[in-house]
Amino acid sequence: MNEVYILGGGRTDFKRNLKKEGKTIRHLIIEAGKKAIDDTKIDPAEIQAGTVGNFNAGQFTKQLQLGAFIPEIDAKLRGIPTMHTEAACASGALSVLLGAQWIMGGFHDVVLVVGAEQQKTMSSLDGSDVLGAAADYHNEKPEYGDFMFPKLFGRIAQIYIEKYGASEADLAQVAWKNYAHAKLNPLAQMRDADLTLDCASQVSDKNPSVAPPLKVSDCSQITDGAASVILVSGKYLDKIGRDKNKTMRLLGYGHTTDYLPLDKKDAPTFSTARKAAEKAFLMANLKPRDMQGAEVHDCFSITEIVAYEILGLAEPGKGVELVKSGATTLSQVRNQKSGKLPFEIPVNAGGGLIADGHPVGATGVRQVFEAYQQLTEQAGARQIENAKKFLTFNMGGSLTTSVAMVWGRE
Amino acid sequence: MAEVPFTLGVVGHFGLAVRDPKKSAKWFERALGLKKEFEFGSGVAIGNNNVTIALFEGKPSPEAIDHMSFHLPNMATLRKALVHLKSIEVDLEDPGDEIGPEGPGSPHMGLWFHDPDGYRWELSVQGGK
Repeated sequence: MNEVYILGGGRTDFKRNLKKEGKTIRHLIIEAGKKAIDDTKIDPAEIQAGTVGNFNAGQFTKQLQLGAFIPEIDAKLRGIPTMHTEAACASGALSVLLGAQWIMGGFHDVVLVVGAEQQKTMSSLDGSDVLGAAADYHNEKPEYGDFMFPKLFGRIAQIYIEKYGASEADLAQVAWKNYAHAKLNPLAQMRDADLTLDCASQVSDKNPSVAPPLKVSDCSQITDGAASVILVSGKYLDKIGRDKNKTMRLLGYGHTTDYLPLDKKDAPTFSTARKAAEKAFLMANLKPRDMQGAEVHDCFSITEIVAYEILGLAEPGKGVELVKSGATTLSQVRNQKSGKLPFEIPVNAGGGLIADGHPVGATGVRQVFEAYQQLTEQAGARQIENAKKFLTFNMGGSLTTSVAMVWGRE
Repeated sequence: MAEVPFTLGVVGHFGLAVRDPKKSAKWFERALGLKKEFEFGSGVAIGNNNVTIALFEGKPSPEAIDHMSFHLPNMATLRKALVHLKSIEVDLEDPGDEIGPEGPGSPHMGLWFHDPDGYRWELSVQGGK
């Protein structure tokens, strides 16, 4: 099996509203693709295939056949094979994985991966209905009604709280942390927002309840955005004379699919999602605590808590303790008096889905690009010191499709 | 091409298909201060001195119009409008960053929101002053 490396990538500013710019998902895909080519300085003629991660452009924008925008990135890309991947919020990770598996299998040596979503095309109510396609729409919509996803994850939070005794204020720790991280990310959607722990902890006019126990601050954003990476084989690195040891490599991955409806899953354990993480660590021959940083799917604050436990960063029921310890907060943000902790793994250094933003189909690619920036020390003010091993976890639906990937450099 | 022998004046009225005209009329009254002018067969007409909107019962088509913009006199009024719309929980675009240029580099500033049928509305200040 061939090794897979990342040569570089790019992303858009998640604060933008494409409709206000008179632009569409086409422009997002082209812009992100060009950024990856500019970053890597690769001749586009070297790119042999392309993937596009996207959840629901068909309903958000009435545009599909998204692979056909890849030739518009550069005329030299006209004619290469492309594929569009979809698995709700995990669409982006699947695009990375598809490109990686092409390289592992020896089909291609250079693959352009783009993830993109344009969501600000309709009202919140209509948009939430489009997002409902990520759930078991025809069976769960009658039960949960409008704004299905906050309600599904509100239910997960209720189950978690009943089992482990966590509180709303505990969930607020995740929201506060991720908003604080976003202030260090110049492309984060909520970089200019101020969220105090006090405001995040209680229902107020500024922070109304959405689906108890979740409040607005517990929710990810509606975002227009795209991200990209260029995956290459070791053979290609040899060809261009690049040092493999200094290049970010995919060390392991796991990909699982559970039943679609929430009530057929074992919340809050999510044993099927857990298998994805176990497979990734087994393949990488590493343990969760070998990681120096992680990008974790935080579509809601409760998701990050549950993900800590799925990924083995915390024991079952101990996710809240982990976030409250400050171990998942960047040292730049954490109270300096707390000093060095015995175990530190900054999670969602750029703000995560809650504060960096969540352009659904782009998120999994954005997470991998964040890992790339961290591992190549290009993360600026949010840089995790000495990051060598990095975890990304992207999932779709109510923990239906899960993709865990372990990345590293020497 | 023959010269058009007239110039359009201000907007008289336009019609919008909405799910529930009476419910929509109440929203326009609360959100934009428009008053009920009269009822007709399948709907309600609302308006002020500048415009009348005929809300008739039908299938909403927000994508058919994209958006509609009304001018406000100055930025102070636009900011007051934002506070008001927030206070009644209107579905505003770009929460936390609601007021912005009409387009990249545009001097005209606006804010955008959706009514209960998904139609997209804009309030803007020409020149942004």
